[in-house]
Amino acid sequence: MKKKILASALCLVMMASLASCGGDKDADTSNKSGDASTGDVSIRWSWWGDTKRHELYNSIADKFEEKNPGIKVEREPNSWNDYWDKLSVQVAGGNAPDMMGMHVQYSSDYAGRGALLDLQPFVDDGTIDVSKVEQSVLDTGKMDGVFCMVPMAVTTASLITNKTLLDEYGIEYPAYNEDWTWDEFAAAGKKFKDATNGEIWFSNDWATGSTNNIRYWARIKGEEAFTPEGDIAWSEGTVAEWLTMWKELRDEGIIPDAATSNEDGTLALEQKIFTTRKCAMHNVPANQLYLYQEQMPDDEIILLRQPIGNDGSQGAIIEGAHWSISPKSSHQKEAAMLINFWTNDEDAVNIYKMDQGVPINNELASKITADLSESDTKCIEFVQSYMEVASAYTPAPIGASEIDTEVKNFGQAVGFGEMTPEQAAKDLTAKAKEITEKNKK
Amino acid sequence: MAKRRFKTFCVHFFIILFGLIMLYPLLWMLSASFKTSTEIFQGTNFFPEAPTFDSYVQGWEGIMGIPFWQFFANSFTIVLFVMLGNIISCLPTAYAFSKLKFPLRSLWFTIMMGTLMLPMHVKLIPTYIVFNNLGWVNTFLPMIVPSFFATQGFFIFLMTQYMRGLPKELDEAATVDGCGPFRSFIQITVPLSVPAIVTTAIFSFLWTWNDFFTQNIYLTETKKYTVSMALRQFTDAMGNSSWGALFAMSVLSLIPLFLMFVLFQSYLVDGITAGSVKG
Amino acid sequence: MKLSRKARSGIAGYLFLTPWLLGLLAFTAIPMIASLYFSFTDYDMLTDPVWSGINNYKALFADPKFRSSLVVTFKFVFISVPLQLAFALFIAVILKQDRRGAKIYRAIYYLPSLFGGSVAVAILWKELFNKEGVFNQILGVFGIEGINWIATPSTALNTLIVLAVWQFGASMVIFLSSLKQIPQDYYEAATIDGASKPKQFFSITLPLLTPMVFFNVVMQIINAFQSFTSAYIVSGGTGGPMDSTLFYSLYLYTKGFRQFSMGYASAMAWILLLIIGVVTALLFASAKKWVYYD
Repeated sequence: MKKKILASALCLVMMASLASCGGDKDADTSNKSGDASTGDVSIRWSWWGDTKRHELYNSIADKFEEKNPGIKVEREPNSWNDYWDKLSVQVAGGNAPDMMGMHVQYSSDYAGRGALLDLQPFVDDGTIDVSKVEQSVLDTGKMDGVFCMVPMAVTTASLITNKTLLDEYGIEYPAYNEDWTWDEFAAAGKKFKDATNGEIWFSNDWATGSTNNIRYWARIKGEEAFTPEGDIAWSEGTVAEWLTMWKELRDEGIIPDAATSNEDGTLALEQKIFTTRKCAMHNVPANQLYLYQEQMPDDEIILLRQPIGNDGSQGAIIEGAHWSISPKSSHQKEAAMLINFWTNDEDAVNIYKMDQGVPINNELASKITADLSESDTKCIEFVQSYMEVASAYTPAPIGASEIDTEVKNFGQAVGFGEMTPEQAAKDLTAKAKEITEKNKK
Repeated sequence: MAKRRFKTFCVHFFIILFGLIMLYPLLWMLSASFKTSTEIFQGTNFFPEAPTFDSYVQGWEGIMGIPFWQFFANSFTIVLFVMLGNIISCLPTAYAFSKLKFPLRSLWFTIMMGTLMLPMHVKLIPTYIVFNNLGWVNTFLPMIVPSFFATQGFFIFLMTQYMRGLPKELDEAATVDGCGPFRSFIQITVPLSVPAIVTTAIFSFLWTWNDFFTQNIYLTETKKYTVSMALRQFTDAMGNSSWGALFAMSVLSLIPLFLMFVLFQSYLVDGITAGSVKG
Repeated sequence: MKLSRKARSGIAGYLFLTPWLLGLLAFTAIPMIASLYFSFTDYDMLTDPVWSGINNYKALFADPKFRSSLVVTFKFVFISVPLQLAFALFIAVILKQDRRGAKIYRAIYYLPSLFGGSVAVAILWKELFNKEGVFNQILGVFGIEGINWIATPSTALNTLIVLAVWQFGASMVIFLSSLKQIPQDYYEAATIDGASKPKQFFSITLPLLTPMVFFNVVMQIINAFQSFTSAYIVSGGTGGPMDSTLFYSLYLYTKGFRQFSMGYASAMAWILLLIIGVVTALLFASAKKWVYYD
């Protein structure tokens, strides 16, 4: 009997605490967030990044406070992994930051579950000015037709390339604003491998990378990775072809073996095979160019486009992280003001410059070009030219991060020789479909 | 005599040799903390070519204008309270489990062991909700307060086992002398449990100092970050990591842990003297 | 009113237990019960949990990764724990004696366990075990060509076992703390009787140490089953290559925090609790046979 009473008491306490989390938090948010009417408001801004970025965003927040007296910005910087751990607990606990960074890897999961505020009203009432932003760029912030994320900046996928190495071995490659086909890519790889006696790899392994690679390949094949309804849109054959292509490159020694690739994926930038000159190319977002150039002062690092289909079909994607606002935020307006400040304030743009890619405000983007570093100049030229052929993509449905894990796993299974490309393509597609179905409810 | 000397020499030789193997990774880190970032990964020598304090200077500057000593101060504050809390709350609990007979003892003990078996990740959200409702988010309280309520089963079990290993005659003698449980707890068990208390202190220090998961969830303002959180800011999977600063500050953050052990090891190892055992 | 001795001891027992009982109610019971509740729901953290009965448990048993992560974890537990404890006990006994430099030696052997889950460990471990790592350089001296130990599916788990064993210092401290609890005169008597050092170890040290050996075995097993940080850090959170270091807790974390299936993760947690519970219960049952309390 006693135990029963105890158990039900516990349940009550638990229910009470759970219930209060679901409900509106505005009522009892602590004194931290003051009263808007007194003009003394405090908003929380949370982002991921390295210590350099922390410094930059910190001074942006300072500038914003300076120009908007009465609004205080509490900063919550974090490193990539910790950021997502913390954010999910904060959102679950009803204590999400007002303004938060979103990344394609997780944005579908947050947006699809109503954790991101519709920002259109703030665009309509002029709080967020998007008049100087390309529509195709804005479209990347639409999830399921709702504009809930403002791009921090735009970037594109790229092949960062060690020009010094390629020149040393007499390999030809296209200019930064020209395309090359997969056949040309493979042929150059073969030539490079022969020239270096197989001691230096031509490129890193894309087949064990993220869903974005498959998305790119599917677009070349005239498909998309996902349908707007949230189904899998790639065909089994397309994935099999992709995995086979990389298996051949791997078997020929043009790209590293599976163990090396696996390790490379977990290594710090300084230790990656590209940085240590064991590999001539690496596919990363273009805005990371300067990070690699800094590490390799003796080599000239350039940006090349990803290969296009042998029939000339283009698959380039506009990428970039986003800012979003929590629907539970009690200071949505102020958070929107901060996003607008990020986008359209010259001082702000001058602080972050090319940190996340090319600023989305066209006018300000052209203004900063004057005093950019060499790498950033290369990057801005590359992205701006690539943008002419790139387009926004259909975002992934809920379950994107789980699909991403599977894509990497099946890619590795082929790499380690545990599965044929055909088998892996079949199983991966089935698994991905299972995940999207499960999440549809 | 010579044979014995040789034997002693061998023992020392192997202890040192094996110790060096054990220490290699640490020495590597120490050496790396005096290298430039490029040399850490591209240099081939174990020893830095031109030792530099840059990493220490850079690391000590901290993050977003908040100096690194602030993170040390935060960690120390949390750690000291947790240590104290664990000791004063786990001692009586362990005493009850090991020396006293009361109804449902084995049930409670089983529950206590059960609390150790559930992975922390699934407890995070409900715990967060509780602390958020108490208004404790972004304070040190979520780390500190539970320790005053013996929530770390590890230490209870440690002390219980230790107390059960203490000679029974002492308690019996005390009972004959008319000592109640409170007096025999204070006057006999606690003094004899010094090694277990010191172990608890050392481990509380170590675990709290190194913990980043809980601290990361609860502390949001940069100036409240702890050492382990700050260290993680130096590496970022998506950007540029400050390895030099990371290694340098990691070395500094190991010093308190190391000193703690060095200072307390005599209590730990000397423990009780033969005299007190005989009573 | 005069209470019986039994009643007095009972009251005293609960008085001593009060802080823990309060803590249990306030901080431990709620999260535990909540997670049990979540395990019967579809809970993605971002929206409210929806009751789904035993669906999570059913899905678990059909999940090949659940099985493979169990296998990985069992291997890890039953290899690393005995090795680690054997090392800890052996070194503790050697370092117990107050030979010259003993204090420094103890500190040296304790140092690695300070590292815990430091991010620096990931880098260190790669320096040791990757293709050009120190370990392969040593092998190279003997003319053996090494492989990339961390990134090869068949050897990745072994490097994590080495990592766990390397940090034996913590268990060593616990052994040290109770080694000196053994009265010196036992040994003196044994020496007079002509017992050799190894014989003394097995007839005096080990039996008297069994309560702490028991403690270490139980705690190390409980902890090893929930092992998370080392795999998380060394594999960069993936449990790779090919899920070969996907520990149960790492999979649980991935499910909960990376794939937003907190209900599923909670079900996993309770299955793990059952498994650990059974193993621990077996240990406690066996304790009567080999653990010696004075």
